[in-house]
Amino acid sequence: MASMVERRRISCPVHHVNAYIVKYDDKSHAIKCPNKQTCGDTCPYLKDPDYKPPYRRAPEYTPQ
Amino acid sequence: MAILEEPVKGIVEVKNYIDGEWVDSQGEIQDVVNPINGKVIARVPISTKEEIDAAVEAAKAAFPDWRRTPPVARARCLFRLKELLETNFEELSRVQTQEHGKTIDESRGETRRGIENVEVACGIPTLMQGYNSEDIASGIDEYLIPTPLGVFGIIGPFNFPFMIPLWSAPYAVATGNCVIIKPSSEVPLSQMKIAELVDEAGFPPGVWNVVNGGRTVVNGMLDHPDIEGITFVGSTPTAKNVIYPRCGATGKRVIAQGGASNFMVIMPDCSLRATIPALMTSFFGNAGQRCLAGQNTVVVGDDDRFYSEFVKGVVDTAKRIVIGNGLDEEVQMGPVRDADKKKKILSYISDGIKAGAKLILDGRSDFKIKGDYPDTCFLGPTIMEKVEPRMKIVTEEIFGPTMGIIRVKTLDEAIEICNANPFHNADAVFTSNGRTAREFKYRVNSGNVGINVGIVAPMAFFPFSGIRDSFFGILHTQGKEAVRFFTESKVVIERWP
Repeated sequence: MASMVERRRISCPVHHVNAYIVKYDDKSHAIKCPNKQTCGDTCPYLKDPDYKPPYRRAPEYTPQ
Repeated sequence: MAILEEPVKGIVEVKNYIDGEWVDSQGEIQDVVNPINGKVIARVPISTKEEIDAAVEAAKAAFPDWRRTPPVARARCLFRLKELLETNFEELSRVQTQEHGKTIDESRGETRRGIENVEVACGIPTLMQGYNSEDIASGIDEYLIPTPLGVFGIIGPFNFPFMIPLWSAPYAVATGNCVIIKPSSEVPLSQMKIAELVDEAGFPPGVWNVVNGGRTVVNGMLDHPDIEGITFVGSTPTAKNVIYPRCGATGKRVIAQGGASNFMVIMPDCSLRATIPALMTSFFGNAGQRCLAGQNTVVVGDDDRFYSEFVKGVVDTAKRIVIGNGLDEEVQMGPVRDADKKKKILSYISDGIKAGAKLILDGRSDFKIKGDYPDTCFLGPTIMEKVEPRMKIVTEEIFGPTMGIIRVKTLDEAIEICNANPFHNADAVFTSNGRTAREFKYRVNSGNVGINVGIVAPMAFFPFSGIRDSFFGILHTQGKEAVRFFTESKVVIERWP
């Protein structure tokens, strides 16, 4: 049985909820999310646990 | 990124939802226009006095049985509603974007905040518990039992068509009352969609009603002797001169939330990397149509280098905000709700310039719309410096994507400016100094106070506060205060000789 190697909290950009990504030593991963049933296959983290939403609410600012 | 599919196709004929039925109105019909492209997406009735009276009758008739329904059973209807809202989350969010113009991310955030109020109200078996004292005198016990009152009216604004009625309605029905919601006639579709889900969730007929319309419906609610209380969110003149005094005159409970002119106080020790993006969403998010939006920054200190870096930072960053159709996920700011609102914002910008403010980013012309859309309702971010506290752009609510910059020498002066303003809805300080933060939160006379937070939006389990011209009433919407508002404290003293 695969062992957990990482547990990470994420803030889902689609449903604005907190969820968890659990990674295992056999390279598989699981999404622990209260909205999993609602989102189904559309969850972007299912395909890519390291998914980074491209959207930013505001442009970033780098001080001079 | 592709533009998301519009959920509203064709033209929706909006009906009233009274006594568990969708009913046609006899009132005149108004168009609901998508501000992005000017297309008519719905027709909404301006309901008559007879129709609001019929809704009150239905709610009044539903009240005795609903009141007797155990709180755990009422909560089950809310749990079911919460599930249905989650299932329809994306559609509900896109409807808000279509009828209001805000970005899809803002709509999704609004949907989430609305659902959170339903979630909190699901805890009603605990939230509405009373308390008791045994032996207040020899052999005598005393109890407090929170009891529902009857029928409540909920009047919603245009800027958050989904969420704001949910600051009140879930708590009202959870405590055993019945409600009549009047959405803004400019954005009626979100409340129509919620009512469809309420129907599916198994609420009995008459508990949750929606009557569309304008002044006739509001007057009908205010004058009706069988409406026990009103919650209202809208402009200060209406809250102050209409809703609050008339509820007083007719003996109704009232929560009347008005406008705002909020200050973001910038200390020279703040982190600009974190502060500037926070200011962008505060001032320009929802196209500035938020009672929690920043309207003016107050930059403290005589460090010219910091001031120049701050001003250059906000202008350069604001210029990079992507403006366009909110259903395009790359867009960061949509249009304002309609052409009249744009005109009003433009007149405030002109007033500011005439009064001596210096325009450093002109949102009237200096912006590009992503995609091929008419500029009828679009504005870019406007930034003005050399703003003074006496100017109309400070003392009145603009409700648009504008930022005024006021410069002062000390924190004392900044707090004085915040406290001298007629509104006291939300003020914030940006600093890395704990003592400054404490001093600000202690002395600023504002209902919602932010420390390094630009949009001071209380969560569902905290009251949405507000002071002076931003709020009229005592208890606030959301959380435990809403439960207090929707219940009467019945005290029982009991002796068995």
